[in-house]
Amino acid sequence: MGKIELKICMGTMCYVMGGAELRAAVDSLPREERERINVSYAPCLGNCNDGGEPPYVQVNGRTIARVSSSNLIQILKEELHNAL
Amino acid sequence: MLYDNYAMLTKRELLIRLVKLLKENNLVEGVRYVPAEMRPLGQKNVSCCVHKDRYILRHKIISILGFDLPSDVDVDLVPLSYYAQKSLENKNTKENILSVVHEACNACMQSQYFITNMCRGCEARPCMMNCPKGAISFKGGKAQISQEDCVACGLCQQVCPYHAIIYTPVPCEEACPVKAISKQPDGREFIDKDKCIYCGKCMQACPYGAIMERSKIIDVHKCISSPDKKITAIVAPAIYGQFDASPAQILAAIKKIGFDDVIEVALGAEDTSRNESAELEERMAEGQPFMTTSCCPAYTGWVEKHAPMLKPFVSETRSPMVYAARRVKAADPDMEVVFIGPCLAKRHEGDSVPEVNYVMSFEELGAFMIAYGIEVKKDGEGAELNPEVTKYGRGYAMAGGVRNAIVAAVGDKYTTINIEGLDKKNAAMLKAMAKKPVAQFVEVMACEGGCVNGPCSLAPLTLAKRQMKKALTE
Repeated sequence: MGKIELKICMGTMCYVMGGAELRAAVDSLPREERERINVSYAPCLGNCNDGGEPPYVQVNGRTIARVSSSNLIQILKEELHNAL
Repeated sequence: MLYDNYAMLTKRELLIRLVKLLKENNLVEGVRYVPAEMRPLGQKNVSCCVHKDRYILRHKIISILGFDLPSDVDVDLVPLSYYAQKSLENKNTKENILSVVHEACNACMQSQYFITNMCRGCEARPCMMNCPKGAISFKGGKAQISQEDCVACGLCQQVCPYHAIIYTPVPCEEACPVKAISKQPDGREFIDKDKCIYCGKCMQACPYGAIMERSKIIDVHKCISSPDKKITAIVAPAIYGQFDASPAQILAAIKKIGFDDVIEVALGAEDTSRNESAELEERMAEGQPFMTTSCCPAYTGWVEKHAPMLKPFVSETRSPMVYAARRVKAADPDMEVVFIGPCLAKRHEGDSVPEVNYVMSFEELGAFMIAYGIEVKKDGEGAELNPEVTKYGRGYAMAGGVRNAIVAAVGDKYTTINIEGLDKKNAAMLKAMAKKPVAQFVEVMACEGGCVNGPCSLAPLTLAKRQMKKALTE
C-alpha cells in the first residue's frame, strides 16, 4: 500500500485563511488511513503572494488551492484509494 | 466551540485587503475595487446574485472603516473613497463596538417550531393531544402549527414519534446570553447597548457575518507608518495558542510589523496576581464570604448590567491589560498603546482606560502580518523574553489560569473554583452565590476554555489549547 505525501502550507496567509483547521482534519481520519499519510508543514509555498486562493496544500506534489477540511478529507480518501 | 466558516474568512479577507491598501498608501483609490475583486464574475454566488454579494461587502467595508450602519444617510449616495478619506482623517464616527450590517442580516425567521414533511399524520397525534395551547391542527393528513397560538414550549417536538418537528432558531438571539439582540419590526436584528456585555457570541454565531465589530486597523496603521508617532503593542497571553511557534518568536514577529516595542500583557498579569491575592487576603480577614476575579471584561459587564447582587464581591484589582499599559505609559508618557487580544469586550474596557489608546483583535493582527509579509517562524528570530513573566502570568489565557496564579501566591488555604462560560446554568449558579457562596475564590471567564477561545481568535480551539500548553511548558 502506497503512502500519501501531504504538505500543508503554514505561511501566515494560509494559516489565517483556514489552514489552521486542516491539521485537525487530517488527525480525524481513521487510524489505518491516517498512518498512510505523511504530513509535513511547509513554511510558505509561495502561491498567494499576489492574491491567490489560500489556504494551499500539496498532495503527492499536486498543489490544491482553497482547501477546506471537508474537501481535503475527500481528496485524501481518493488518493488513498488510488494508492491501494 | 467555533468552527471555521466562510463568513469568518470573508471578514478576514476584508481586513487583509484593507490593511494591504493602507500599507500601499492606496486606500482611498483602491477601496472601491475590493468588492468586485473578492466576488469576481463567473464565480458561484453566496446570495441571490453577484451584485448583492458585492453590495454586502461594500457595507461591511463601511463598517470596518469605522462608520455606524445603518446610518441616517443613504450610503449608496456616498462613494467608498469618501468613507476611506474620512476615516484616514480620523473623522470616522463609529461609537458602537458591535453593530448589525443590515444589508447582510438575513432577517432570519422568528424562532419557531416547524412541522416538516416527515409528518405521517399518525393516529396517535401526540403533538395535537399534548399541546397546551391547542396550536396544532391537522390538514390534509399532516399536522400544522398556528404560530399565533404557539408559545414555543417544545412539547410537540419531544412527543413526535417520527422526529418530524424541528426547531429553527435565530442563531444570534440563541447565542446571546443576556437577550441583548432582538428583531426590529422589519425582521432585522438590533443590539441593545444597555444590555450587551460584548461577549461576541452573536458575532460568532451569525451565519451571514452580519454582526461587525469596530475596527482599529486605520488608527494603528497610522501610528506604525508615521515617523513622529511611537506605538507599543501589548499582547494578550492567548497569542501563544494562536501560532505554532515559541513565545519569543511570536513577540518578535509582531514587533517586525513596525511597532516600537512589544510587551507581554502577561507582565501586567503578574501585577494583577500580586494585587488580587493581597485583596483576597484582606477581604477574607474582614470576614467577607467570597471574592470573584475581575479580569474578564465580559464578566464584569455582565455583573454591572445583569447581576448587581454580585457587585460587592468582584475584586477591585485591575486587569492585566491595565497594568501592562500603565507600565508602558510610566516609562514613556508619549508612547501610544495598542492592546492586541482575542477579546471583543476588551474594546469596551479599553474605552474607559486612558492608558490604552487602541484595542485590536488577533484577526486584525493576522491581517497586519499578512500585509507586511511576516512569517512567524522565519521573522521571529533573536528575541528574548522578559524574565519577570512567569508561566502563571501567561496562564491567564486559559480557564483555571487565574486561580492557579492566586493559589501559587497565597497557598491553598482558601477554597477555589473556576467558572467558564456565562450560559444559563453558570449564570444562575453565580447569582445564587451572592447568598450562598460555594467557594472563597471564584475565577470567572465568559468564554468556555478561557481567552484562548475568544471570539476574535485565529486558531481553532483544539489547536489553540495544544499550542498554548506547549508554550507554557517551554
